Amino acid sequence: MSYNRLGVNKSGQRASIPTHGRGDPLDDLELVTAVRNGDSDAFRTLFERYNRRAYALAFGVLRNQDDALDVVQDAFIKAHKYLDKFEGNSSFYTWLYRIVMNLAIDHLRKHRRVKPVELDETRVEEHAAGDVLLPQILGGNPGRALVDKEIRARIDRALDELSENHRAVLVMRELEGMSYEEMAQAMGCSKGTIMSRLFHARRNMQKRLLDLVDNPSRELLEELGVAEGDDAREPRS
Amino acid sequence: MGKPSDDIELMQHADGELDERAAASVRTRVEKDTDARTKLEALGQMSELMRSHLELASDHVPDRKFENIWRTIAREVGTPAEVPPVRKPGMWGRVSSWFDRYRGHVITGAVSAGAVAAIALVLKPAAHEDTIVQGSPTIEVQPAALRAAPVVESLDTPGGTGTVLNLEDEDGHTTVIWVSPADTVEGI
Repeated sequence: MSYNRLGVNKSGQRASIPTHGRGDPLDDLELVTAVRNGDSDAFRTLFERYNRRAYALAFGVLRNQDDALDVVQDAFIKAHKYLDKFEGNSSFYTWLYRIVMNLAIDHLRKHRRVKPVELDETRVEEHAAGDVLLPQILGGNPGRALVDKEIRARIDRALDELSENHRAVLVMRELEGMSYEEMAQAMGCSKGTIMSRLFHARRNMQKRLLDLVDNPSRELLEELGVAEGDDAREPRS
Repeated sequence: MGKPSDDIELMQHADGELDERAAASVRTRVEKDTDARTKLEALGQMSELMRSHLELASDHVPDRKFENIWRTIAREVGTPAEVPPVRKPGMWGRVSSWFDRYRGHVITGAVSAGAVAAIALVLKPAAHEDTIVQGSPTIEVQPAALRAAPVVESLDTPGGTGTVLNLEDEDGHTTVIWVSPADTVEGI
């Protein structure tokens, strides 16, 4: 999965902007080295390169702009403080997003709003009976979401309605392409729990976005246990 | 519609979490089972939808908010909060630069500060007006970006030839008339 919209590749090793005052962009490792050698501008370049991407990750989990900005701020401060511990085995952004994710999860724990504990904390097979993935979504055109404000609002609402744990795994997986193992480490739980959360998060999103499906069949609605007038079936105005 | 365990396996397959043997088994199933194939496609659509949507979230945050948090970060880590802006060329620099580019076509190398007269007419003076002193290349001007290509017209003057440049930038509209004595001009 690439992340080309912001001008950086998935690995974050060679971003096209900003250039740190030179014609050609410095790669992340060169910038990290420069910061270690006391080049204060280099850290700003790293900040400018990744602040929005880090924000997208934090906001995806926290769903609050101010909280997400706080996490981005703390993440960069922490990254600077522990830059000597960055060994360069992974990309700078991979290292940074782990910091962002850990801070976002810490934030959730500290400011946990009352949310029911998911039923998926045990093995997924035990409670997944009856839960299946939807065989269709969005009439085969997810690209509509990019231009349709109403669809975007629906997605936002659906994300807001997910439990924090479900939303966190969904964001980690879809935005950053993290493996189940990486997510398990970040959230301090087993891979099985991550898999379960992800499965239910996706299914819940599908269910909440069902009204975007073009002409869902009665059989599909019955299979999902969705009755007419259900939230997920609110007609688009 | 398939068993939940089958769907979980489908999801693992879509996420690249299955080993090669299990992945091959799912591929075989997907080839034969239309429902499984559709679900796999739906998973892909969901992933694409979520990724695009989440990426766009940062577009709603104005730059100033990131500037604000940078100032806090800079204070915390002991880094200067402000990066000195790259000094943009002033009016004289822009005019000289233009002539540098077209020197070969317009004026001989004999054109120098002493041989030309430049007159600036600032039609919309801004807070920082450019000051150009006739014949002097060492002019103190405020930085300004040359956003539009200058509109150039030529004119004849007694004993020489002139070039008129109309420059548009954030400081307003500036007209510069560059006059060259006839003996230094190859022809315009």
